[in-house]
Amino acid sequence: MLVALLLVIIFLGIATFLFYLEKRINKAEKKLKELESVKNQENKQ
Amino acid sequence: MTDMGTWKAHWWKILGVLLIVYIIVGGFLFEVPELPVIRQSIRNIYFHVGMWFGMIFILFVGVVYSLRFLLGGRTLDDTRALSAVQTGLLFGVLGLLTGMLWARFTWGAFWVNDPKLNGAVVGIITYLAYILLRASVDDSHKRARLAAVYNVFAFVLFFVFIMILPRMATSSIHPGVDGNPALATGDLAPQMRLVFYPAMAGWFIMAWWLFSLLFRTRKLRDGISEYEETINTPTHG
Repeated sequence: MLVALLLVIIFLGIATFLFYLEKRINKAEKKLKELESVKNQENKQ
Repeated sequence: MTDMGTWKAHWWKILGVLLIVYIIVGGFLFEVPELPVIRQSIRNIYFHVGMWFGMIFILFVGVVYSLRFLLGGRTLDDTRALSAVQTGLLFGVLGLLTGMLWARFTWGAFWVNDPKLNGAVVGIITYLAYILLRASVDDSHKRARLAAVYNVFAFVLFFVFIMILPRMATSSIHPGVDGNPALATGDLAPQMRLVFYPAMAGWFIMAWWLFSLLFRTRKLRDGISEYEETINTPTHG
């Protein structure tokens, strides 16, 4: 029982970290797209 | 992203997390048959076999992307193949570790000289060589082509090491030499199937999730490098 609880807590910690990573990647992807579109517009001008 | 959009993007990851939590709880607390020698260590089947199948699944995904790269030449397919192999290696190492723990309690040692076990470790080394091969070639296109061809061979070799050679050996104490462990009819008690099949789904989802995170991180890193190159390159006119 105790081992199962401990493993669940560890796994939920890992899952939370993965969701956090996912959020950071989403933000970074959006930012990179914005920067690239600005750069493309500058190049066109 | 809206709440609905967030849910649509993440539902399968949440399902994966819930399945793994269920596997841990069910794996440790649900009833299992009392068998001689193996006893309560049979519970490890949900973890060891699940991770190993997750590895085979994601390595197969890697081969598909390598073949796609060879056919289409898209760099992103090579990046996907690399991410799949790295995820597969992680699952492979976890599968080996859970297997070693199981071996310790049933066979009395973390490692025994068995064709199935030795084949598994040689298979993992075959994939480590894929990583080394990539690191040894500087030209990016040449590296991608070489790695894609090697990945296809590595997958075939892997099956030779873990499936064919152990079956040709005269003896092995590892189960599944005559068939597929845990999948053959009668291998698992009915109550264990309630955890085993969700375990397969859970580990497959976790493997896919890790693979997609690795791929997106690498794609992002390449995108940033490209962007930095474009802003550092002076434009003419």
